[in-house]
Amino acid sequence: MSQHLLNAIVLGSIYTLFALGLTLSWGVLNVLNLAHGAIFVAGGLTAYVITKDSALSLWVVLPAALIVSGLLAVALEVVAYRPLRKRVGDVHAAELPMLIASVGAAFMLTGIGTRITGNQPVGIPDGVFHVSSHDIAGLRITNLEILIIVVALALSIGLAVFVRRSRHGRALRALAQDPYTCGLLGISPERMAIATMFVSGALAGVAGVLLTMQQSAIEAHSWEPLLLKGFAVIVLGAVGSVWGAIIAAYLLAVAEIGTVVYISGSLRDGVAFALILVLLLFRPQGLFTRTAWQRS
Amino acid sequence: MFDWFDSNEALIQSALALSILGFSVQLALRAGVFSLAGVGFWAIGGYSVANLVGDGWSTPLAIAVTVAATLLPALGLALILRRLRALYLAMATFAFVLIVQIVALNWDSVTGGPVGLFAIPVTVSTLGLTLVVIACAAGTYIWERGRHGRIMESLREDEQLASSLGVDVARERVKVFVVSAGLGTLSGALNALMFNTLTADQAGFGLITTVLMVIVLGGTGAWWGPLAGAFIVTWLPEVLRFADDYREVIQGAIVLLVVVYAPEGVVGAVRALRRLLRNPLRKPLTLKEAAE
Repeated sequence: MSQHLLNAIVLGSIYTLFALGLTLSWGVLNVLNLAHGAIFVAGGLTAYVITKDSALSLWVVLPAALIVSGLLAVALEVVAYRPLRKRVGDVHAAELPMLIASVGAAFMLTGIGTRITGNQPVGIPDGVFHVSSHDIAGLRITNLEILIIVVALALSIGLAVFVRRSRHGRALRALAQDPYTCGLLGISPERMAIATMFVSGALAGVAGVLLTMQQSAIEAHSWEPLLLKGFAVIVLGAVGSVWGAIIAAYLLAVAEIGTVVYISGSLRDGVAFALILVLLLFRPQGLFTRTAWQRS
Repeated sequence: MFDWFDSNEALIQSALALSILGFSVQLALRAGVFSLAGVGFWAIGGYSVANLVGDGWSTPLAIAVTVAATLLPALGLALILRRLRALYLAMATFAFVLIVQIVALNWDSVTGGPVGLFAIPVTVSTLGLTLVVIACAAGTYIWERGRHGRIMESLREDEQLASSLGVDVARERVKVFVVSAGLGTLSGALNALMFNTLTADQAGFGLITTVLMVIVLGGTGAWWGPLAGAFIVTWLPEVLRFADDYREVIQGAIVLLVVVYAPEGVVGAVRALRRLLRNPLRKPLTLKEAAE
């Protein structure tokens, strides 16, 4: 029982890292970034490429993947989202073209990923991080799982505190409310958008490396089911809410592991969809939101 | 002409089937309904007719029953999602497509699981398909000219204004969603009965990309947009044959660049050209001006 709970916490940590970026770009920039999954895979593949021929430590690999994924997200902002926002003018009218652009980007990145991997699952060599198993209070846990939990909690709680407390966090929330007034107050919406996309991509990149190590393989298409989970987390935790996303990610993981253990493994991916539908039916504003939902 | 037709018949068929899916998604988008559910219904329609025809049903009956039968779940889904707007609806319908694919991968007795269905009887002719496409195009043409066209326009531009003018917004949106789902089903059904195989891979993210490419390249401005888009998208891999392994990359890049820099697609380009021909002394309009 508690072993299952532990597995759920590890899974939830990955979901947290993945979904935070998705909810952030939506909440702040009104972008449903369907390329987020491909950017996540790019993190894993970066790790694969740089460790293929040279022995590097995880403390080099992780920042490298973080930067590559973050820059990919920034590139998407600069090439597609910013020109679109400028041309269309109205934030909401730009939503559809931005979504389509992100689909194009996802297809493109997946195509590149397929070339890199030769359409095979690829992994990161053991030398990067020695996985060892420990017994703690009767639970089996690997040092990799501890690392995943610690990294996820540190980054997500750090982000939550940053958004709520810091000056930049306040600017970020102001941008989500009203980009125009932000401009008047001397906050550059363009610079904030780039920063937001970088953080969003960077979190996905870290998640990509960690999941690749945890499952010992990644494929160019690995992100498709994960995107579904990301959606479920967003709906559950309310768009743009960092704390909501963190709690929702762990709840989803518990629900999923519970389904696999007590009902059937084949229903695993159905849980996320069922949650999305039920939530949309009965509580479309998400579980943890206090304000009225306006956009949906 | 006939030689060309013979050697390209398979491409023409896929373009025609794809154009119906294009009509499905274009219809929704033009009414401001961000629904990709047509792609999910494409798969449902395909699996359904493949099984029915395999059981000995006649083709028109199988297609008619399938389309009619999926209208009910489509209505159910529309009612569940009726409060959702914009990105929320896009996300929910995207999730629907992914879940249809997951079901297709696991429901072996109906879908053949990961291997897919093979040896589906090929019972739809190019002529029959062309007639269906003409019917869809004519339907869209009539729809966009009349009262419905204006209602859809008003829904897309400003829902509050539409409802103040007496348009029952919720009802119209549900209607659009269901018709879009029906067209998706029809497209999938015809596709399955023309190419004799159907696998779960065909119905996922790749198809969403393809249909969005159809919409983006064709343009949403006119009824013939999906038709033009479908033919371009179908021939693109042939044209890009030199790019070989990087075809996907280039296709993705085209979607991205067209939607950002030439958002009116072929419809916009043709309109700009027409204006230019009509009034050659004026300096050529940019696509953006043509749109206005």
